[in-house]
Amino acid sequence: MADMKSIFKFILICIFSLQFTGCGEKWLEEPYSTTIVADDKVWNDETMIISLLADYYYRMPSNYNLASSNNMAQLDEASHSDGTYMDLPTYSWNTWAFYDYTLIRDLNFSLEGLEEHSTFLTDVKKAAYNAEFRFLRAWLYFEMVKRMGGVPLITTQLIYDFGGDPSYLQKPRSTEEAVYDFIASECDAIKDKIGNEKSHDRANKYTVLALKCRAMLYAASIAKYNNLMPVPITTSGGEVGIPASRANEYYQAALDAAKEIINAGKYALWRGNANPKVNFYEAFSQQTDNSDYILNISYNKTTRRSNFPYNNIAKSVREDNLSGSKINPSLNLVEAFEYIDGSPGDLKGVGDGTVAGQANWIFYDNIDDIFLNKDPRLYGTVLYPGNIFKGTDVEIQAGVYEWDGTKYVRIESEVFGSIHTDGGLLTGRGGPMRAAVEVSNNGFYIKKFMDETYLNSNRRESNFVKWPQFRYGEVLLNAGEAAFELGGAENIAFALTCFNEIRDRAGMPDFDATTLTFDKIVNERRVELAFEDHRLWDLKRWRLAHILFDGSSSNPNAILYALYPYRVVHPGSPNDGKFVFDKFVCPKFRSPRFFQLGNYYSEIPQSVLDNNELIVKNPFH
Amino acid sequence: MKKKIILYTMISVFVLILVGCEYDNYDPPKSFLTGTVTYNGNPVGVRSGATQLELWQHGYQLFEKIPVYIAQDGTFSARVYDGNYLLVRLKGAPWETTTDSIPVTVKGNTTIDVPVTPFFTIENPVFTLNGNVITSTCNLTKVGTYDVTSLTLYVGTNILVDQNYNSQNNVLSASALTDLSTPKTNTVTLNAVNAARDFVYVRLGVLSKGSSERYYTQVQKIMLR
Repeated sequence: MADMKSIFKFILICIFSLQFTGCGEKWLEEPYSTTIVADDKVWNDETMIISLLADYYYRMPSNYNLASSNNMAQLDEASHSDGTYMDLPTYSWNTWAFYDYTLIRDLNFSLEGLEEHSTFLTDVKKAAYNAEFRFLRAWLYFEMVKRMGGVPLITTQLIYDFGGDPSYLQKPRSTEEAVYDFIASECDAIKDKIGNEKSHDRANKYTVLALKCRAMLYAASIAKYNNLMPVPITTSGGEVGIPASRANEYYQAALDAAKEIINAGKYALWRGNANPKVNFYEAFSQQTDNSDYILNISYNKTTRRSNFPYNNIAKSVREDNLSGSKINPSLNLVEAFEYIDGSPGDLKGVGDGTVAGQANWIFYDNIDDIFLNKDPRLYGTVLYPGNIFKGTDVEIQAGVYEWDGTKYVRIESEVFGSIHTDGGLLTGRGGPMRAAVEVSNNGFYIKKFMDETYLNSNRRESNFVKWPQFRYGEVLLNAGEAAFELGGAENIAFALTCFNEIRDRAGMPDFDATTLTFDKIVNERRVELAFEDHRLWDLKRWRLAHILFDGSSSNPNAILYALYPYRVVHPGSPNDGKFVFDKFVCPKFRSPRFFQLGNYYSEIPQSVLDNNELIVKNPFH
Repeated sequence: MKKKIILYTMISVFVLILVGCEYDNYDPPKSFLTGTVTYNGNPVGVRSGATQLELWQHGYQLFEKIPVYIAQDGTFSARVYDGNYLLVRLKGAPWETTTDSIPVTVKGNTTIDVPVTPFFTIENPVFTLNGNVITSTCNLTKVGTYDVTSLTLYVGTNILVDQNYNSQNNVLSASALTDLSTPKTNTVTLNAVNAARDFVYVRLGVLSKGSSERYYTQVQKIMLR
């Protein structure tokens, strides 16, 4: 005990005396901090500026990407094997809400810091960084306006003067029109100053133009299609809604921006493989740079991981003992792919699971014959029965239909790769199964963005397939749509060249002036841009979402369907050993999709309304 | 000694918890505000969970609405504090949008009627059962300026019946509804599953171009056996 006390005293004395000596050296007042970097250090060091930029790129939102892919099943592109979004009576008002003024502030802060403190950078470099920050700010405003409608346009830092009354910092919402105009004028101002030529990870001139092209197309569609609604969605202050009179001007701006990209000839659709099926798959599922991509997210193993293969690989070929199979492209999407002759893509000879439905069956010799002559892009987008992945048959077969003398009787198993009494396959190693998890619920797996690198779907691995944020194919589709909407012989001819470049690469027949319609454009974007985060925003700007997804159980667009393949067991009949298909509502799907008018513009968060009484709410909220 | 200190601490904390509640919490609201959304004195049927009234109260730091959902039979109820409120008819319902708010004074349990002007109403709905076929007849009345889009007969298996919750339905589109002076007939042939039930619930809903929500009749129960 005495020892302890003396040790304690000794320590106390030591600490006490340390204070005196420490203070003498003033080491606590060293001017360098390890956590705060002074402005003049940051803005004169390109490495630091680039690391700030990296952070800002990272924080740009998307509804889904390869690191977070569940929302692919939010609408009608896919169903989810876990049941996520499968029983969703309505979308809440704050679905898709995004209101990030922290990032706006950071960008304004960067612009002002660069201007004020940067003395060592050359004028060209300084202008290029300035342009890149402004690109990010314009892009961020676009991401906000497409979700929330008009938002306050803040282009400088708002700094509180500690005078006791912060109300001078409250700004009202700008009109939706003004935000789109801001994006256009920013893009025009910076496109020739920004650097990064040939970069796919940082914005260059063509990324700026692609942003302008997309934003102008959205503004034009809202100006046109919102005002075609019986009751357009507007607010009295114009925070939501764009006058119809501006539609053509915006379509022209979208077309002009697209033409500048097309005429520059720096990008081209990927045509690395002569087989259009394989080519479309390789275009999106390789780790190498794609000549089509203007801006993409590059994933790596440490700072930006993609677990897309781990989450979504087909059950039968997975390389981990968990997960996989999450995103199952819906039969709705599969049928949206037309036949190679341009006819509608509904699958032929499909039953409905009832005995009466068996009359519709076509007995197919091979399990993938039903997909014969479909748009080759289907092969690159969806893993369907009969496909090989990673060198293995994915084995998608739900069960067998056995002849009992008067009708076929359905037999399904809950065991993967089970064998029927006749010695043939009963239920495949890849499902589908009605109730099990981590296996397809609807008979399909996703193939787009899934590469076949050995073991890359193991959870310890990351995936290096890139995610396109802007790509040349979209620019062509935007240009074609804008030209089509503007009309006139010259524009229609240009629209046809744009769409037919896409169609030609896909291996589909050309459109001509009579076959190119609005509905074809909708469908072409749906299949070409599947799983690239376009479907939702497209349906919103066309004001089609509430019509397609009306919550009605009698509306096939609002319901996700499954396609279950079966082997026929009928000894002595020519049908024995052939394959039949049943189409029915996806077993886990409970509530028809219901997109309400109040979903066109997401809810402004209550905390924002509380802090700023000048902000008005969006309609219906 | 140590044990005693711990015991005393525990007791005093326990007592503090008990008395603390007295001082730093509000009483819950006690008054019920109830009522019905009406047109010409008749309740207006809506889709459950879809249409909303808003209550606003001035005079507090945070100005935030109290949402009041309208039940499918057109009634609503909210438990609120006594005080003066403004009641707003939110856009997106099957009736004309009006920016006028209704002043409401809540003192104890209060009942109010909220008058609205639907775009369309369904008059004299009659449902008849013949074998497995349910037939409805009704008259449509155009009240507002917008044209009709569709008239739907819904058959449901429980009392919640509307566009979202129904087992079977049949839609008459606008082309079948051009002459509003004649009664409109709509039929649903019950499927085998529904025909085997003891009863079903039926309802009519009319959709106009003015809104994405329908005006519904009151739900009726039809005994099948």
